Amino acid sequence: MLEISRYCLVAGTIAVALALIAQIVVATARTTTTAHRGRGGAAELARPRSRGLAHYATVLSQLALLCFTACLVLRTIVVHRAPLSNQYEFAVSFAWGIMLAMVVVEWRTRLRVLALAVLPVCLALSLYSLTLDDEATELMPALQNGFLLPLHVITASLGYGAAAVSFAAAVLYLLHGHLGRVRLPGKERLDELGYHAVVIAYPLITLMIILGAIWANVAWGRYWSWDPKETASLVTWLFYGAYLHARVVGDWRGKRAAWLLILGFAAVIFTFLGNLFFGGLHSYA
Amino acid sequence: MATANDEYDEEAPQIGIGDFFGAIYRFFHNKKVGLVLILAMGVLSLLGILIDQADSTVRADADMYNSWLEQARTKYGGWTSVLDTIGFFHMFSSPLYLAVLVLLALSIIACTVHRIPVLWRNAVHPKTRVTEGFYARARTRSRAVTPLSVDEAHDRVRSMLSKARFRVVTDPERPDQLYADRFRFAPFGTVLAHAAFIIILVGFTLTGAAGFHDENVTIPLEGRVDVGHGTGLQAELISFEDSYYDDGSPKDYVSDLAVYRGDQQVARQSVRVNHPLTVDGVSFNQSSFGTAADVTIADADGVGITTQVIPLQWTTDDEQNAYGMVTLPDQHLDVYVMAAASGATSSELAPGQVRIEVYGEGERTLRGSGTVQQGTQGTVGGLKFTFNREKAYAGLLVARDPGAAWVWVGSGLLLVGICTTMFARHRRVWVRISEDPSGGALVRFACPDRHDTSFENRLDRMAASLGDTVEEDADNA
Ligand code: HEM
Repeated sequence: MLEISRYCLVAGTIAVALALIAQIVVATARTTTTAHRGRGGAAELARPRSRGLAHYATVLSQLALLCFTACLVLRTIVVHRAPLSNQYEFAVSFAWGIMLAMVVVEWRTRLRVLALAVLPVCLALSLYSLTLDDEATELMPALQNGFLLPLHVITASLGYGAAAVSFAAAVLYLLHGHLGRVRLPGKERLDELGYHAVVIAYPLITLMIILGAIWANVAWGRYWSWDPKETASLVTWLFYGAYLHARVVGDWRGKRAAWLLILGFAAVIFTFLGNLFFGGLHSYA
Repeated sequence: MATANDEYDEEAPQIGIGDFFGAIYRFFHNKKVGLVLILAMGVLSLLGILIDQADSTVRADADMYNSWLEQARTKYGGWTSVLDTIGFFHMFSSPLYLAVLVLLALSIIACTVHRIPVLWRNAVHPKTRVTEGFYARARTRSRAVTPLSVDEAHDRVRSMLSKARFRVVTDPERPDQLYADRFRFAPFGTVLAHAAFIIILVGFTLTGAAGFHDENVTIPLEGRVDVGHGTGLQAELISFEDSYYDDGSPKDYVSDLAVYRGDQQVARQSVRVNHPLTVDGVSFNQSSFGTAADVTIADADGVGITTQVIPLQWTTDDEQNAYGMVTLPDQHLDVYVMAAASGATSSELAPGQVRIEVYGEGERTLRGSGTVQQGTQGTVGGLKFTFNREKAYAGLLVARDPGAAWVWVGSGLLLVGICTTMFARHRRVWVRISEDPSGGALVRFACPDRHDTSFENRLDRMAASLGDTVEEDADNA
């Protein structure tokens, strides 16, 4: 069964890669469509082909989400606990969170172009997870908390997934006008999307940190110990907080706010991969 | 505003106390200052992760800290002294970090106090009259022309907004204007979130100032120790059990722990890593376990000094030996006791054997060393040691934290505050209805707030429906 779970991950990774390729083709092929559309009506002629591919790109994203979900569910069944307790399981959960956010955003906004910046992140993560040891390890005593562990990690996956979308919106915002043939939504729309993604991510990251503190208090008798991983999550939270406030300070709107989103996501990645650089209480993951 | 000083000297311009505090207040409620402070805290925290941190036990001992610094020098070179001087080797208790926290707290307080009247006015006494230009400049705008008369259009817009659960405010003197809003108290969520952050900081301060956190309370099996720290409690380890998975990794540690006040047992529980025991606000967490050596020490004449169960709680660098230490205050000596670590394969110490080293109290000069077999007596450094037996011990983490409750309350408020502002966003719309040259009414919607596509779509739908309803009505007629 663990093998099937692993196959699901491989299939999901391939689906993400194909979805990305399809999105790139669609994004760069669209120019013909828009060039015609400008003159009215002709857009309909150029549409069917690229729309077909765009449709498949969306379906591939959904398929990837399905594969990641299956991978995690199968693993849950085998290991008899939430699959959320080593770097491999976190990486898959993170990729799952990103795909979930991506699929929801596509469904809600019909803006596929965000995928251009989201899918590479997801692809990198799922490839990374494939390099990790997927052996089902037993839970060390500190992790044996059937309530706080899943809650803490699920909020992290969902929050980080939404953060990836805000990162994508910021990247496209900054690349606006530099992408040649790729047609992007207006800058204001991208700015708004970035903000909406943070509106989802920020409360979740806040909740994740609070749950972490509650758990630390139960397991280690101290709600905060400046452990590198928890401090890294505080840094993430502060950068997103700075972003929220930058949007109400005159000359920090727009470009600088977008850079703060990128900084915030860099902090997310740093928090996630941090154990490669530092030890600390979170050293198991 | 006239200050008391003005009465004495009406000519010379005075900088009054009020102006001084006014300037400070303006500095702190400046949003850019707030932003820079949040970023500063973020960047300093990041540096606190990236730069090696010396923990408090190392810093408390000058010798240990110096050798720590020497090691840091190999990594940071000439920067070591600079980093040391500005306190970056203990970032989270450094004056700079604390200063940023205090400034941030002041900024949050000033910002919030400054904003409350504005929020109150917006919620309770919104301005209903706006200028023509407002409708041209507002970030979100929508408009519709209907064949209805101005009065009919007014009623229609009003009922449409009410149906969408907006509060509608009209101005009796200006029937052509409407103001409507939803979730008008939601912006107070930012007040909650800001207050919550301050409450959490208060909690942190209380934890640091009025609590204690002792990571190293070791209790030998069947032994009883004073908890100290003014608690008046004693803890007894009745039994201890550790279990392992098939692959050898630890599965569970359980201490059967009893807590006494005087002679009376006040609590007893199986303490596991995720199941602490709490008595009178003092919590006991399972933290470590290991082997202790039960040793009797006597002076050269054989007069007993003490019998102690010494937890062998540290391991040597090669991980082959475990050792512990006891201080003999009357003799001004430190005694180290060492045994082969569990699972060690190449220790020079055989099972049932301990090595004793005697040093001057707090010194590094060896006064004597030797090996003692279990059940026998040996003389080391002029003292007689009997190694009675090995015993298990449990390491507990004992803490009292009067700040924690504040942190939990603050955390709850923070979440509630953030969710309220973000998920129940205050929606405001001004509507002006005027006669259209075509004979009907021109209805204009405008909102100056941050642009939001879904709200804009909503206004567009409302505007469009004004046209639709008219047509429907016309059809029905
Ligand atoms: C780390 C501490 C802080 C936290 C957790 C915090 C939290 C928040 C949150 C959650 C919001 C709502 C944002 C939104 O809806 O987009 C907000 C808004 C706001 N905060 Fe803070 N804040 C902090 C520090 C500050 C400081 C230092 C200032 C003042 C200089 C400040 C001034 C404001 C203002 C003016 C708004 C209103 C923004 C708007 O009108 O949309 N905050 N804050």
